[in-house]
Amino acid sequence: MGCNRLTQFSKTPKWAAAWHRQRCAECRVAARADQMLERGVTALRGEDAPAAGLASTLAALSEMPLPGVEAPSRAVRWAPRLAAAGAACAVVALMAGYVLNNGAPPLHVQPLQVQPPPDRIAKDEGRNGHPPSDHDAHSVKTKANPAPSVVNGPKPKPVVVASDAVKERKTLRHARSNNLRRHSAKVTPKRETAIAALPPDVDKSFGYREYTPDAKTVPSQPDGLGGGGFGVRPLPEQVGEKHVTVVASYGVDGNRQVKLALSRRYVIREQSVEVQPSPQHVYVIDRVSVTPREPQVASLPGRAKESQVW
Amino acid sequence: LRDEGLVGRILRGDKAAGERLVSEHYPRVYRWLRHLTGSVDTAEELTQQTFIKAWQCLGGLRAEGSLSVWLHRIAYHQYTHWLRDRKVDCPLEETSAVSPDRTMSALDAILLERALAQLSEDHRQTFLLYHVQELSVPEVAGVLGVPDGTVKSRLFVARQRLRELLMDDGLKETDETRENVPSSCGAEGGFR
Repeated sequence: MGCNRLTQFSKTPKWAAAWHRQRCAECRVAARADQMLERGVTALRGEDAPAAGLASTLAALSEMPLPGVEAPSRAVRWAPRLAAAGAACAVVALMAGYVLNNGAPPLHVQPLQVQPPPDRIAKDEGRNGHPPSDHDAHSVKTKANPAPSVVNGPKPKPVVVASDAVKERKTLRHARSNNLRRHSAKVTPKRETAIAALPPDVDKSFGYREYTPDAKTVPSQPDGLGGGGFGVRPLPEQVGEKHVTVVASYGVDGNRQVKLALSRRYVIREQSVEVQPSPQHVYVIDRVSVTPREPQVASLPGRAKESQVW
Repeated sequence: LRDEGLVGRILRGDKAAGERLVSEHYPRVYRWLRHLTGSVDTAEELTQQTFIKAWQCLGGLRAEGSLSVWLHRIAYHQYTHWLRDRKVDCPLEETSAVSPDRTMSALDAILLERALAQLSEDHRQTFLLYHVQELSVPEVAGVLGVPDGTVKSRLFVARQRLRELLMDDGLKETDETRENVPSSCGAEGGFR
């Protein structure tokens, strides 16, 4: 079908098409095909349907019940109205809730943030030498409170002590994620000073502090080493001399993170103290010796150096 | 409007109106299904199923559509279901046996149906609906569920393909039989 006029249905006048067909053999053949097509379509249109099929269809329909108008059910008719009413109620409820509760105080009371004292030693710290976990760091410290009695009145509320070491540890943790180098510049000199103030292999007396058997932790020791430290819960079986290794603190120097391990010896003895109105047993940390050990250097990823910090 | 009145009378319980509706539309639906299936028995069966389905759903007929288009749509669904179940695809022999009279137009009809059988299903349905059933392009589009432009495109391709087929095969046969068969249809000019 190379002639372009074959694709132009009824676009050209009849006389032009006839003139073209006189010269184009392909269009003459196509015209004959078109005539066949038209005759065939006319024949198809005039084809009759068999009477038997029509009769059987009428017979089948006569046995069926007459069709009725399908009335929509009550639920279908009321569905749009119910949906609209529900949506309106939901909007009104949301608006009312917002107006009534906007600016109201929260329903729950936020618990008092409790932070443990810094110089506490975990129970298993003497065995593995790991620093206390975050769970331990948030334990509650209560000072010695006498048992409630009729004479003393109600039991006073526990005193919460937040140590500088815990704050410093939190600050350091945030600083690691934000800007490690900037924080190290502030922290490292302080730690170096603290280490320098501790002469090695020399016992240092910290005096003694008193604790009741209810005490879970002890206050911070004035060694300036910050985190770690004593976490003594004096139990009867712990009375006596004990030697533990404490990861006392963390430091950052340049691109290195340094763990400083300290060896501490302390003695816990039990004594009776006269506390009015009745005597009470307390535990006393008598003498403590602090011996710095070799610092452990843990290089930060990708910035390893071999030199020591202190 | 006439169809709407007829449907209204049927829904009000007029049984004669129902018979009249079936008698009026049965031949067209049957003719289309016979051309699609190529089988008289299958076309009768599908036509009966079409009218039974239409009878059941007559209450839900909406007024905006033509009754003829609606019936064709139901017939088309019946045909597609039958096509999916049966997968029968040989209408030529039965088609030849349908037209026993050897007039010129009957011969052209046989040749046309033979050529139609070589078209794709979509082009054949579209061509039959537009040219044989004499539906408009929007009505064909409504029956087949395709856009108007698709219907026009299919019609163009179907005409071109049929012309090619008739030029290649049909003219030889008609040349041999033209002297012996009287012409009953004096069509002039190209097929539009």
